[in-house]
Amino acid sequence: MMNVLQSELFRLRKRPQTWIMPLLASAFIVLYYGIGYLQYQSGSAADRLDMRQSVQQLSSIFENGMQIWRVVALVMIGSEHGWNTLRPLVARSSSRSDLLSAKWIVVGLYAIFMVIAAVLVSLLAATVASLFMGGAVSLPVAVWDDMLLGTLRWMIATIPYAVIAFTAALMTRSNAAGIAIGIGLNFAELLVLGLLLEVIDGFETVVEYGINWNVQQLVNITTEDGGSVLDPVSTEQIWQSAVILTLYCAMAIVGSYLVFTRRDITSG
Amino acid sequence: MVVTLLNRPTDAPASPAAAGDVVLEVRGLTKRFGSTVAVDDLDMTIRRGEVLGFLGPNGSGKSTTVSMVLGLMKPSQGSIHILGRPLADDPALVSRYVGAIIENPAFYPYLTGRDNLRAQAKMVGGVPESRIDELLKLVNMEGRADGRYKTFSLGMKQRIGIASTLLTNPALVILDEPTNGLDPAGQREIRSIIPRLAEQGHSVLLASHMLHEVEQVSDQVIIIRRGKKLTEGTVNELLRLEGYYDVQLEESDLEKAATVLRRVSGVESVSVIKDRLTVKAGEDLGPAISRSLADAGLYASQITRTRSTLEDVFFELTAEPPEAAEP
Repeated sequence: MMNVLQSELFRLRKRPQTWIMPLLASAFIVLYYGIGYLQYQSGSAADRLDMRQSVQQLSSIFENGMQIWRVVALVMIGSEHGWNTLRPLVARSSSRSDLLSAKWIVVGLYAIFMVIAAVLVSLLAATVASLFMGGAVSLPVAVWDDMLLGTLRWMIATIPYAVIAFTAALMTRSNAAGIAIGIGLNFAELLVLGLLLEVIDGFETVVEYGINWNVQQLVNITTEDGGSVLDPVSTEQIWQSAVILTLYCAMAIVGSYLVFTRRDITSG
Repeated sequence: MVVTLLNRPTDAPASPAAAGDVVLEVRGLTKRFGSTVAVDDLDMTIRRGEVLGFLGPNGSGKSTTVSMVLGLMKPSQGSIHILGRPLADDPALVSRYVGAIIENPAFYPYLTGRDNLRAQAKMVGGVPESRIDELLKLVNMEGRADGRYKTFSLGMKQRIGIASTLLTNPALVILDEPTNGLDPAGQREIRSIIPRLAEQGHSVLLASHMLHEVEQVSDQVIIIRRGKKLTEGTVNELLRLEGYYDVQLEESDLEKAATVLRRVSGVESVSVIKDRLTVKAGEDLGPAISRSLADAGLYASQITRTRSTLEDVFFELTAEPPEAAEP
């Protein structure tokens, strides 16, 4: 298992996409602060960048950035089919379970790496922007809390979609299908459930078992001074949503093992 | 360069001490896809240091068989033993004792040739960097291995593929069309490597369409069609089996001689071709042919035994009967 994991990490480290994706995300973050700086230059003192506010707003950038992680997650398995490297990979692995586990671990580690990179770039960009704009450079504990909260929201909102995207790429043996399902799922879910909600009475209860609705409950954690723009969510509801989303992830992960360890590998 | 390195004394291929002489043993191997039988009750044995040529037309079940041996497909029936151990009980036997190129060599396009070998080495563990250098020299890629794989020619990709199969010094090397797309010099170089692998104690399963290639390097040959084994034996056995006599006589005697020879026990067929007879018969039937003609008052000006090529044998065995031929 460790050998397979080492090989996966080696290939991840050598892959240009591994570095291009966080660079792209970092560029967006720097752009965000750059725009803030330009607004400051052309505006009044009231437009001074409030660091806390900007960090809170960054969570929306993270939410958009989750698309990148989904893509990186699914290509971990989908590209093996595209390059025809899956068969030699399986033949070299101690077992198919080890290989799949290594891939899941690498997907998780890469997510952590992306988050750390994004947080560090955000802090750096916020500090530099504050220096230029005369704002407070020090980071009070509350700012750290907001930063961590934003990151947490980003991760939670991403995990179910990234897991499903990976499993979809594995099952369909295709990057394209994985991308379509991984990224299109939340839009499709909103559309389909929205339509059903219109035509079926009492469908609200069913909607509450969907991925999107439960993700919204989790990312809607409110701060002490009310950081949320949505209705407050009860602790009980947060736990219920966490359990539902965990179930979705578990089903996707178990499904990936069931399929991958049993099926004939005829291509890839 | 290749010859020098291959002649160097090296460690014996990895294998358990008590494995015995048989490296791969396949018994009753069957693979069904729905109602289609891709591989039908196939038996195969490869001994240490043996090169087994595995021949068959496209779609005959070669790749399916190789895939089952590599654990990529589960057999519908039958067993596969690697070094005496059942593959079904220990799938890791493949990663430890088998090196393979499956159809075409497939590696990561964004990695260099050397990094591709490193990535594979890490998968199995315990492969020193010096082994990678040694193998790159072996396949004449030491000066070009640091280029990206996607920039390599097909020949270079094949060389990296062969190097990768030998990373773990495996007991069994499976080469599926190893000279596919290579120029004549490249084909010759790869062909020269195969018997030397056997000399070093590796067993080689060579699945190929290149009949002359198989004929030159194989100790044993199996020919399959539609998943079923048609014949098996050493190259010499198969060629002897398929040899024929070329009998030259007066043209006016040809028909009479053909009638006489068709009655000789052991003669499979007699054909009149222009000014001679082609008599398909076993290698030891020469004296009987000569005697039968003499008894009938016919005198051949020349009787020669013509050795078939493996290509003759292959096409003879794999030719589709007219009713089964595809439109």
